Amino acid sequence: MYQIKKMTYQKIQEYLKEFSKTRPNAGKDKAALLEVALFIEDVFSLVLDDKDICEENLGTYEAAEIFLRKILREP
Amino acid sequence: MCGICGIINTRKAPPADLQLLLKMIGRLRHRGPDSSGYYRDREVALGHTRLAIIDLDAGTQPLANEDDTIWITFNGEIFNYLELALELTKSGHRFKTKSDTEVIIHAYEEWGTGCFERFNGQWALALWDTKKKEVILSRDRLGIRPLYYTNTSDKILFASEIKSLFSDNTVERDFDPAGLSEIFTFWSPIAPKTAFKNIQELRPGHFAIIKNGKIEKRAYWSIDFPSSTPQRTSSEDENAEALRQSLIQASKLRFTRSDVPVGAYLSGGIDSSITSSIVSKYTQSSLKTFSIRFADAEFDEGLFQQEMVQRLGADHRDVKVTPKAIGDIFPKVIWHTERPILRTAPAPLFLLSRLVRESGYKVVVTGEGADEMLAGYDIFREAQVRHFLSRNPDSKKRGDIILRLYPWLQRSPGKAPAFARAFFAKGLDPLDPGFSHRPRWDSTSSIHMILDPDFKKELAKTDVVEGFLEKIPDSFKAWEPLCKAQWLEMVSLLSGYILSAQGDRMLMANSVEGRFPFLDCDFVNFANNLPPRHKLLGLDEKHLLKIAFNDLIPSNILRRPKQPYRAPDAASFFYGEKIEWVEEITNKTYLANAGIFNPKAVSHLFDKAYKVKGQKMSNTDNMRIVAILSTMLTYHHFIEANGIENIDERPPEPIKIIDMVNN
Repeated sequence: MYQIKKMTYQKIQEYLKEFSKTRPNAGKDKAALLEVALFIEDVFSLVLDDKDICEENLGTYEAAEIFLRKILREP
Repeated sequence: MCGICGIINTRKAPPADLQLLLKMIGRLRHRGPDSSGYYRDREVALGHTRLAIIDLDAGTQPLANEDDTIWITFNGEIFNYLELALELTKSGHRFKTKSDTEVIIHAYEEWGTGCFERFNGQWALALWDTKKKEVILSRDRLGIRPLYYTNTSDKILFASEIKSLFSDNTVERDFDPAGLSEIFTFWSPIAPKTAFKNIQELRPGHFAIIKNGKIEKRAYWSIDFPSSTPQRTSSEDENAEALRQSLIQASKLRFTRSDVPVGAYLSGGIDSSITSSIVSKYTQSSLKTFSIRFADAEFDEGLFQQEMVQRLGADHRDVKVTPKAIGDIFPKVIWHTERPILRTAPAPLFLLSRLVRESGYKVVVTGEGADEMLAGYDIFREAQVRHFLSRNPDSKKRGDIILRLYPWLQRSPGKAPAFARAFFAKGLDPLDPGFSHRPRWDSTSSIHMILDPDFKKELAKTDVVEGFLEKIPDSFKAWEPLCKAQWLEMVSLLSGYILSAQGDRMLMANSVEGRFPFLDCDFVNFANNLPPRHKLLGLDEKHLLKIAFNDLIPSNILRRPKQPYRAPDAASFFYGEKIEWVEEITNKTYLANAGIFNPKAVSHLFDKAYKVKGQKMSNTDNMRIVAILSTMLTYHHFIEANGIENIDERPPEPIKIIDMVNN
């Protein structure tokens, strides 16, 4: 159910960097993980499935970046 | 800051009654106790009370142009008046004073009603153009300064406050059911509506031309946001620097454009800490700060205030507010709000402005507007969460986001899913233009349940929410969800409550002018064009503001959870002994005469409040109690009677008199 919006690699990095400034401990618990999901959906115009909202995908900024590059189909 | 009023004949009637004019002026004495004045000819009369701030010797009003063909009565400040004066001088205009008032007259001569777009300021004014036979009323962009008007059979009256209009005994004094319904839904009437029948408020960003007894209203500015765009390209660093420069400029203008010293409110939150820090770092002004302290630790922010005071080296004073003090001052507060309110929050601000005045200050800068412009309120975070849930209503995981919104639920996480369901049970249609505000409007509307059944039927004739949503601009649909929520907040609450009942009225009650850097027109324009994520990033409110000023504000203030400004509500009226005025205005006979509330429901609610001394009551009960008391006080002050005791209503002396009728 993704509504894919083309996004450059630089933008993904830029937005995640902005978020990490105020939320350095992304994904430290289930509520924090949900806030990462909320941010990602809001900024990248996505809708995530429950299975995607997990530590593996969103637990760190590095993981989130890889996840976003994959679903936004960026190389 | 000042008070203005006037009388415009709409028929071939005798000149304005001088006694009425003086009475109207006298009722605005608190807005301008330094002097007063009036102009009167056979068609128009203009009144003024002055709080002298700029050009103390020559700035008296009403004031005219060189050939006495254009007259003005003006309340407010035009902060870019020096720049405008320079431009107008180059165009051949000659000035006889150094006041911003005279700049307005010449600007009107030069640019007509197009002059309002050029003003950076806060104003309500009336211009009498004797050649065109037109009176122009105008109000600033966001409604910082108030302006009301009403029609009678042979005249139009206007004034800064409704009580001045009620000086005329031919003006009907009765509640407007639709106006009350708006208050009991949005917290505030939405201009042009007021709490009273046939009394209208000029909408922010508008001017009105009054000619031949007709009033034509036009917008010169409106709140606007860019359309949604697929990619947002602005860099955070660049925007943070631009925000910083814009706010520094706006703050400096408000601190330095004054011929009297300017103080600052310091709440302990980010916004006022930033404006105070800007004064300390970027101006030569010595810093005098003022704060509210609460006896009740639940509301008190004293530790944060003290930290900023020490950091800034400010000369600081505070007023410690008790529930009893709020209960004692509340009738006077309602005399100044001129409408029902749903929280006691304005009362401590009344006590604070009194402290300012007693300290010898008559101008303060405050952080008002930051929460609206930069998305600081919880309502924006709540809407963000509701959008998140609405995108996948079947999700088993998303409900726990509530723990991020309300961290206190961490103490009982088992309640979170149920709380989330309750919170999102209604109004989850993201296409609903009122999406962000439905929960607030629905919960506030619960006041309707304690209304008198007949009055409730009367209110049911108008759907105020639908009426409001019908007025949203065409461009609204294309805005980002956050911008839509900001627009609703600015139009429904900022002007009518935050800047009025809690702002202008509580400041001017003690003859103190407020200045608001976050509402500078250039800053507002800048903020409205920011990418939404720079205002609300995830659930981080006022994100860019924190980045922009992280060197000036200690991190524990910068990163503390937002504490909404609140004061004790029911506890202020039921703390122990019975308060005489509460008993008087809520007895069964009095309630029945007013016909607004169901006496049984009031009695039931008050019994409950007395029993628990107003402590630990629900939000809804607190709101209902304040609504009942403030509505009944409004009825008492303005409808049953017409005034309150111990108020000096003489026009302040010296009085400048320009009377063309008796000359």
